[in-house]
Amino acid sequence: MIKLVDVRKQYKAGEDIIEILHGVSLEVKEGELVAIMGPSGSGKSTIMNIIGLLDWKFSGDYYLGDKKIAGLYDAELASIRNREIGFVFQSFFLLPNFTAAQNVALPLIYAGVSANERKERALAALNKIGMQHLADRRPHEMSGGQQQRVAIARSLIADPKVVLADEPTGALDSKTSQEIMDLIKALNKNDKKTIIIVTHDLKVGKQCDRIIFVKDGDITDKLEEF
Amino acid sequence: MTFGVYVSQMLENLFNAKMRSFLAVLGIMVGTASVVALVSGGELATLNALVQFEQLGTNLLSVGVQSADQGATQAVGTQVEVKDLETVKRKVATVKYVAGYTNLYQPISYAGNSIDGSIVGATESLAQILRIKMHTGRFVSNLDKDADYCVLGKNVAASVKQDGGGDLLGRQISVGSNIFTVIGVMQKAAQNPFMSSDLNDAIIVPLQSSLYLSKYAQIRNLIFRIQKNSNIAMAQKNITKVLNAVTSGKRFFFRSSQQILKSMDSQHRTFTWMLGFIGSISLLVGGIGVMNIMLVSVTERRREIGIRRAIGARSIDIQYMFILESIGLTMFGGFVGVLVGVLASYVIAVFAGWSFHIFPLPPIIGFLVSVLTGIFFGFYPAFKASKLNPIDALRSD
Repeated sequence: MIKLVDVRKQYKAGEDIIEILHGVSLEVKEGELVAIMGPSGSGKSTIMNIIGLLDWKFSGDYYLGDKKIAGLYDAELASIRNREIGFVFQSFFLLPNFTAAQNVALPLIYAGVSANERKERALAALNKIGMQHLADRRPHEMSGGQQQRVAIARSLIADPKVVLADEPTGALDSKTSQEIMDLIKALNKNDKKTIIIVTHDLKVGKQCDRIIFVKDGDITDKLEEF
Repeated sequence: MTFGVYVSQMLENLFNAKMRSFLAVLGIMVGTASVVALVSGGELATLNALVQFEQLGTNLLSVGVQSADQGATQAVGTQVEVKDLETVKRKVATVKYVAGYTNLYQPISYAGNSIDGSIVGATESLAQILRIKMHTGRFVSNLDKDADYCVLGKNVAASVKQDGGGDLLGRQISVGSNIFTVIGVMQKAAQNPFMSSDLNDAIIVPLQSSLYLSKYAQIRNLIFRIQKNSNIAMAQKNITKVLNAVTSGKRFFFRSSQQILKSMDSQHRTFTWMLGFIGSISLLVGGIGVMNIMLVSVTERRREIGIRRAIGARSIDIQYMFILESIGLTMFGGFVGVLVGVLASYVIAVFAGWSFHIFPLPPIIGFLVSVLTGIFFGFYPAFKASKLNPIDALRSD
């Protein structure tokens, strides 16, 4: 489903060129639930951004499904993000002035779906995660766990194959974290979503099928303490 | 993403930032209102001046008589005389009326109080040509010859009245060393560019009398009313021919209604352009205000931009979103500004005593320009927003 081959990422800091990924190769199969773990600054977020097509300035090869991601236009990248990838973020990233239903429906706007269908599908998505009663609430009227559930509903609305979750439990207490993990595991198991979670939390990592460790811009086999 | 979605998102976003939107709208509103009010005011001024002028008719022709030799004294050459006016009328068929008049300044007083005013020596045809209406009494007539009669302009009559009141007919006004009897008072005369002096501030005496009042009095101005639909250039040529035959050493300067209308029109156009320009400055300031507020909005909504990019917005979608918000602001500001501007031009008309009229062009232009302002000043912030890197945008607080 996702394959990185010898991916390198450099950026310029003044005169110096700093390489933050030194040729990363990894593969995630369809339907897998994978955790990417590593200390801060290890490059795990950069890997996530590359996989999520938010960062397209890298060298090496990236295959998403059977597509090679190289030399695509902004509109093509946007369309892939819109239809094939769902994002879940640590601090939820809901639009503050929008209701839960409007937030969930947002990706459909860029997919060109009609207003009625957007509303219908957003309510159905909220319903599926048991949040339909909060459809008209704005983010500040919801708890963190509720907001993250809405964000997960948003990531699924366009029915992507891949969901990328960047520290999805990082802003939540342990009980709520587990609820969110249960939801993510259910999506993986029942809806066959390929899910990649970036996390610090070993408890989260251990619930995944597999953990990919990243250190200093490289994949390592060794489990180290963070 | 359809246009309707862009618009509904725009309305939602603007509504969510009410205070900011209001401030942006305010600047554009004031700018548009000032453009509309100033240009409409200028147009109203033109219209009212032209209407006043056209009441006189457009078939008038005035002639200024000057010595051909600029340095010569009065004595050189032969003057235009009263009898020559009849000759011109007889010989040039297209002349309907002709009036010659003199213009002189001598101390005028009533009951020992001096009165401001000039003296115009005229014949009864002046009243016909300039359509002078009488308040009381009558205008001077050809039968008055060199009688000591006078007709008062409206303002002169008012200053005489201050000293006494009641009926002015039959009162004695002293002009220079002579005494003239009032035989009539004129209604307010419309301003007209054919007369070198304002009739409202004048005392009118029979032409012949004025020639006796001063040895310097000469008929230096003629006014003709030409038959309707006749060739003015032709009339001009024929009149010159006759005048050259009866005078010597004189040059004649013609001004026709058409010429005057044209120059009035171009003067007023310049004036209106200038007013429009002044108004545009405030619209420019309003536009800069919109740009400012849009830039703030882009900065404040960096994270929103990042979120939208992550879930599938193209950079062009972000650009459209912000440009449309800017256009939405200026359209609303422009619309309210047009209403306020038209209202202001109405107030101007009321205070200036003009008849009011709504011109379609200033509101349309004002509105379009305000929308263009939105596009122009919205472009840079929107472009900046669209070029934000999604990762940086998401990372910002």
